[in-house]
Amino acid sequence: MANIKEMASHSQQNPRFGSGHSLCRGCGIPSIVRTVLSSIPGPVAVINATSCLEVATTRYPFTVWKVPWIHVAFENSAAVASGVEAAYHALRARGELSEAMTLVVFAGDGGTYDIGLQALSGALERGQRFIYVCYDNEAYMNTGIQRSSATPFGASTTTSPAGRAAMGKPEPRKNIVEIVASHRIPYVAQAAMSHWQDLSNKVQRAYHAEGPAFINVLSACPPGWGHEPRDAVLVVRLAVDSRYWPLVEVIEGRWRLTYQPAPRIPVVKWLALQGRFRHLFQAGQEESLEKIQAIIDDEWQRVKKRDEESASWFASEEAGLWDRVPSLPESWEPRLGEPMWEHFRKDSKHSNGRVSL
Amino acid sequence: MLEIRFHGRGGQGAKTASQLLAVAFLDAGRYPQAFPEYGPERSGAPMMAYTRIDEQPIRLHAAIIAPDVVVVLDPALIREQNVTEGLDSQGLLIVNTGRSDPTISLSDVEGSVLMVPADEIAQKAGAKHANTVMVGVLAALLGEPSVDQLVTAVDEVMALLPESARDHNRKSVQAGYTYGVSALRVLDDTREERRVQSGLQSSSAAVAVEGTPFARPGAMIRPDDYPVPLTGGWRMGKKPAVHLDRCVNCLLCWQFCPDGAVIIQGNMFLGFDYDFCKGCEICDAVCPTQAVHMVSETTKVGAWGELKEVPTS
Repeated sequence: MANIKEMASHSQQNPRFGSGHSLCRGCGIPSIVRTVLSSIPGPVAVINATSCLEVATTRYPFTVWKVPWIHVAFENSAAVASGVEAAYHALRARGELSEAMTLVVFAGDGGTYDIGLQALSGALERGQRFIYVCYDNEAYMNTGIQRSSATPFGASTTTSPAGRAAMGKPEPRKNIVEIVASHRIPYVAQAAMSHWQDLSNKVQRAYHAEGPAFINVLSACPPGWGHEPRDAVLVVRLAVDSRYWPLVEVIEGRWRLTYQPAPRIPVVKWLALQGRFRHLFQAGQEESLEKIQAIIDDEWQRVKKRDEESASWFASEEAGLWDRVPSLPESWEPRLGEPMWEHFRKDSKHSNGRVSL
Repeated sequence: MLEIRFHGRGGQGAKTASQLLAVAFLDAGRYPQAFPEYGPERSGAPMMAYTRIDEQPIRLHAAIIAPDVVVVLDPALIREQNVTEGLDSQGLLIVNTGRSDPTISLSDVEGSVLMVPADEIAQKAGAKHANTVMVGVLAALLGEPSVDQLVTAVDEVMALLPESARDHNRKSVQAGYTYGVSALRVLDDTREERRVQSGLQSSSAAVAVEGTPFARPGAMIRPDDYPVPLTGGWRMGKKPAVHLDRCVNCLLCWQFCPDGAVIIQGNMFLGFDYDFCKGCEICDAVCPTQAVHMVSETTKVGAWGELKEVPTS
């Protein structure tokens, strides 16, 4: 499993996601993208659904991406990935492409839970091989914080506002991991931006999957969730530790928890950090808080039960195969002594000698 | 027709300022128009807001390209945008120098320039942002609308805010108006003396807005064809700095930095890249040894933000 230093070396030697994007201060997405891309050895191509990530990283005529990258629309990122995969196989068959390549799809929760669900379902059913990463910030943040089916119960958004008539979104969120796991694909996981090692491990298991792999990653959104940018990591961490966001993986239909939050932290601790739940702390809202805790406890019990059921399989040799470390390229070792920031040096010829080393 | 262009960042209240002015002019019996224009619609990203005033209904709904007045809420924007675009020798440029940046000077602007320490004035009035101060100053310079009309407009535009916030903004509009009246006397002096520079140290360098090479329409763009847009100007007055003796090279700051602004070599931490750091403070929050400190933008630091002494606070 790649640790933080290996990822750092890897991302320097194979720059894949650069600086200069216009994502908000304190955004959780770049950390997810960098962790995913620096956990995959070998060449990568990225398929990007319409989202914050797509809009902010490719402001015409500039692009942050240093890998082959394609954007089409909200609803068809998985369909486009299927097409790219077909083209990849055709090129390989004709001998025009010698290297193996990993396809990674990045989409937001709107492009995955809502608009892109049918294309995703189709591609999963066809067994198309790609790693689908949904960064989940729990609403349509790019267009101004509208509710999505990933928005949790009680959260205030511009289309489920808290006021006299309603107290935020009245419906609980959709469980996308269960939906995707129902397709019986080889690898499904849920991760969080704060737990980078867990995320990196899951990406490497997804890399080995002989078929589609899906990872749902909780991001942070300071403007949408209503917290200070500096607290982004803390807020996501508390979502995991309060058991709101269980870190699970589903390998060949068997569920397991990959992280066991030690002390039981009540979910109000997590809710209280965020402006989108502020209205729930008024007098008379105790019921809503209790309901949120009940939803979480119920989900946790279900995951826990599945985790226990599959414990014996995960102890078996067959399951151990999933923990293989991908063979890293030889150039993985940090090449100390070489000029620093190779990719900046490369950029500098276009930026009027801005970088002077 | 009077055309006013506001330059600000998402979150600094340029849109509110343009609306506030329009509502006050409506009260004064004019036909106003106000709307914002965003690039990346993000907190901290450069944006513009427009106000048009006329004595008859306005049929023009386009962006303002030849303004009579330009209001700049953040001087750091001057390096990123051509704020004086379309401003002629009759024009007026009002800059908030509260976030004093000694590398910026406006000595070659053709029209009149007024520097306003608006952040300071807003702070004294208890307001969070300088936008309402700038509206007050502008109204005083234009001679219209009156303070009362502005105060009424504050109540109308900020109706959804708590009373305390409205109160602070009423006060800052009034304080801005007072400042504007005193500045008017200076502006009315000889043309040569119009260049009022208060609050900003003068520097001989001209406004440096380097021409950006735009790609031809229909051209194919590869990743390195276009210079990387710098996002360092998004910082709101604070930058990260590091006390290297305390750093244990855990690289958590690198891991969580959204902007790739942590400089590493191999797997060693070196420091911060101020060209890209947006000042989100995540590095400070995740540092396990308090090696990272947020310091004021004007604090002198070594290469890549190295601090020689740990701040006492």
